[in-house]
Amino acid sequence: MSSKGFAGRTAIVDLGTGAVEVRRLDEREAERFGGGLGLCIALAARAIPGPHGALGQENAVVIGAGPFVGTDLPATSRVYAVSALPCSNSIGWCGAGGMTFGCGLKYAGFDHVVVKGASSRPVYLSIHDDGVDMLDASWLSGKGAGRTCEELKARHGAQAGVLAVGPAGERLVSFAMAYVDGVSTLGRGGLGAVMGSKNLKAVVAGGSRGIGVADPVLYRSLRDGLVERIRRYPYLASWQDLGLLSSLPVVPAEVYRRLRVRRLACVSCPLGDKDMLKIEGAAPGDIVCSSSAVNLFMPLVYGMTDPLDAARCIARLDELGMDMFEFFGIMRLAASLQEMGLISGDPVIDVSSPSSMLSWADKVVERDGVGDTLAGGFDRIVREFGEQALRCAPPTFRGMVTYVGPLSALPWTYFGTMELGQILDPRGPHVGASGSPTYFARRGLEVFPGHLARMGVPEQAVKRILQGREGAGRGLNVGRLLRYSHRWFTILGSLGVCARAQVNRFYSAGLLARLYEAVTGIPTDAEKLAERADRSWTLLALANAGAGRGLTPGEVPRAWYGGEGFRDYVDGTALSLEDIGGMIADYYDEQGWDPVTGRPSPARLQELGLAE
Amino acid sequence: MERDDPGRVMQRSITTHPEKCTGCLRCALACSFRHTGMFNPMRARIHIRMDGPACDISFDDACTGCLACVGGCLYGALAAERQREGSA
Ligand code: SF4
Ligand code: SF4
Ligand code: SF4
Repeated sequence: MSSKGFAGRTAIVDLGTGAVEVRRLDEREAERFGGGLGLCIALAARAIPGPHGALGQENAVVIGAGPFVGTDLPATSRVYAVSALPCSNSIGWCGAGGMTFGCGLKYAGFDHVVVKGASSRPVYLSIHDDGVDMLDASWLSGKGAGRTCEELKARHGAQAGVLAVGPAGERLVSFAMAYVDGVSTLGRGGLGAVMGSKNLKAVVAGGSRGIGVADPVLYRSLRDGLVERIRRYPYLASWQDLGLLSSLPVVPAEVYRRLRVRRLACVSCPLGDKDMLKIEGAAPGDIVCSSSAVNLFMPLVYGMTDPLDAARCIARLDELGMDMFEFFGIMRLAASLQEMGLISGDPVIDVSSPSSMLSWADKVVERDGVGDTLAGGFDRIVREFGEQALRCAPPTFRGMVTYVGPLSALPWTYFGTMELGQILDPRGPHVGASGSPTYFARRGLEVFPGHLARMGVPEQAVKRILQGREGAGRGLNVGRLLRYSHRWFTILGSLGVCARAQVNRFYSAGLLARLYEAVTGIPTDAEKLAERADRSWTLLALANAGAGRGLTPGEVPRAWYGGEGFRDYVDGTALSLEDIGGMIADYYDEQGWDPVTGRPSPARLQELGLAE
Repeated sequence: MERDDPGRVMQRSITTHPEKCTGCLRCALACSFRHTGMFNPMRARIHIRMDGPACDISFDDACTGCLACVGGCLYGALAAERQREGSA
């Protein structure tokens, strides 16, 4: 199968023994799960014993890129990792705009790498044309995520892609992330800590192999049509200029433009929304790269007033390798505990103060005094401070802050799939809309049928979605819509297409099926893509359901319902717990899972060939 | 080289605007696919080098002037230019 979309090999690396096994891609499995994210899930379901024990040697990290990654189809850069994650104690997916790491993996001749065991000393993996080397990383210990990336590129060549953790990952801070090429973040929920627990500082990937396609003539014609549509998109120039900042204007456009050195894009992306800014004092040479300028300025929503201070603060968190939403959520809670006299330590904890946050970021990573407790995340804080911590904690779900909603960093009100998805994705809250049309608040319902048809939602399901919920009399069933958003997201992820709104709008299920066939040569239609995605997502649910992890309405964050909570996406009325509980049940029902326990039903498992 | 005007040889050349470059490598992907049937920027005849804030776009001797790279770039960092080269 090599050189037709897939690179054709999977590496299984045991960090404990240093053994590396290179297997030919299992073509049957590739077809059953599509590739990329889907195949990561399939490999993880076999390699990971369960959702608990994320930081134990038994846990594995499966990293992979789909068959479109490495081609020039627009925005096909995505790289995924699946692992048991420490914050949520779940087997979760992590995804990132893969910059050049995803395609580097493919050009080295690998679609996936499974990393098992743990090394007794710091190591990094170098994945190249001839295989995988496990190399000493002691010279990188303590170095920041961006710096590690630069030094590894200097050693292995600028064309190599690098996945690295910073000191937070090395010191097992539970909300440490990994960074792709020093720009994209991978692994909200603690993938950085998992890599740290394995003494795995980084993975470098690059090679000289080519990725070919099965039907070049069909490929060219489909690609050219797609690129032409993007070229003619009336908002192309404004997306390329401001991107997310136009819908989330955390700073005025002039301020951003003054600081911008250039925009950056993942490999193959014509709508690049990553940034290189010049921020004095933020980094060596004052040059800072980020997955989005919006992220760099995010501390402004926590009360900081100077955009440069905000950016310096996030640049430091990125270099340390920590999730900013989790860090700020935890520091808000810590500030309340300090006010109550339960936490001592200098300086005063103040999320609006850059110097306080920089100082506490170091304390957390160094696990200095109470910094050690904070590094353990919400669960550890609640264990140590009990009821008092619970009372002043921001809304959390399974040990992580819900980043969108009442009392959260992004206090958005209307309850769409991104909002509900925070509690219905096995990995817990994450930043992503799964390609759903509710990404934009209160869109008119008249645009939904077109979007849903593009996502390949069957007609009968479109009716159920647009009927609203039984008894509630509202026009959009968010639970049922989320089920198809998860499917759409899984299709995109399995092929390697970015799910961001500005990108996925150009793809449809039908087009993806034709492209899949042109790239891989595997006969495919939209229904087959959907079935593969359902198989993958259901397998992920099953891998987590083993620990009895169905969601109950009692777990819905208290701040989400009642007068000050979320509002209905269509009519704006306040949601009750029953409303949200009904959406959860509808989501499970639409998946063919038990509406109460969330366990995939035996009949559904049979249909998907997962019954054994 | 192409002859599209009696008595004149027109050569296509490419103007680069490195300040607009995002490093997306769409140009190099298009080039490698056009000339090798496979995707890998290492096989391309256009080379994008980002070094901190600086960006350098260059072409090697094997470049045929086919303009596939220009077609791939949606950021305006590459533009095709027609140059008069003199009488045939
Ligand atoms: S939209 Fe952003 S994250 Fe997605 S591929 Fe493009 S640059 Fe990467
Ligand atoms: S003009 Fe053609 S050969 Fe030259 S770099 Fe561009 S695509 Fe490659
Ligand atoms: S396609 Fe354009 S923006 Fe992208 S790397 Fe090439 S020159 Fe730069």
